[in-house]
Amino acid sequence: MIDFSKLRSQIIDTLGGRIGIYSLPNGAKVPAIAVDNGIFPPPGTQVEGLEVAIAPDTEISLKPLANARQWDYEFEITLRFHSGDPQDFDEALEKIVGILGNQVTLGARLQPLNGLDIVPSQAIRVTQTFLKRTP
Amino acid sequence: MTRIQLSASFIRGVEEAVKEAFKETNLVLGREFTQVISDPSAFREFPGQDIVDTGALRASQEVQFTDDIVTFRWPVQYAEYVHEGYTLRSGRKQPARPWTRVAMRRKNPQSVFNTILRNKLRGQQP
Repeated sequence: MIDFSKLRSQIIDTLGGRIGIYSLPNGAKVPAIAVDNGIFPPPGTQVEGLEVAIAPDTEISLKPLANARQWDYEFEITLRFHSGDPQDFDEALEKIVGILGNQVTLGARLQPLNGLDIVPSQAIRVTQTFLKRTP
Repeated sequence: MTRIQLSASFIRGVEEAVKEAFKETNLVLGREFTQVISDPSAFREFPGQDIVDTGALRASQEVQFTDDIVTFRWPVQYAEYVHEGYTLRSGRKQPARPWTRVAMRRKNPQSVFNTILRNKLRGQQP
């Protein structure tokens, strides 16, 4: 199973100073990474630099095999680049993909579009496979 | 010891069936992409709303086959923004509507391919 709090810690360790800052409404400053559950970060939070949002909603598919069952779990991490050196975006992406292993699909890199002041972003979709033997 | 020799015509037939099944699978998938774009129940964040506005995105689907690779494209400027969702600098978020993933959940390409290929190979003699 996916331990999102462990994944969050791994990403913080891996990105080090490349990760951005959430300035919370109470004045606290914390790393800009959230396991997005609709509660954190709270409304009114300001973001600087690179934000990492982990969507814990997993899509699960089950495949019966001859003597086992295979579960595929999919979840998504979105990198949003609010400010800073664009090169940091690529380096952060490379580092996160590095810790996620090879079952990763990159979404399109979104840049500001005519008439829409979009925060540059990129989704990383992760599939993890688990096998359980059937008796 | 048992030795089994497959005939050259059988091997050619299987190869041909695999190619045809791959192509037909992707035609099924292409139709499903369009269905999902037009389906008002496809995305829970947008209840009762399909993706269609002007119809340009739905009509823009292109498919290209190159050997064993198929590429689907929707060459309108905003396609990837609708598919991936986005955040504005004001903080407003537009949720993603990933029609390709929804379509592939509804019509699993591997299962569709297996069914088509099985039907094609039925009756082939080794």
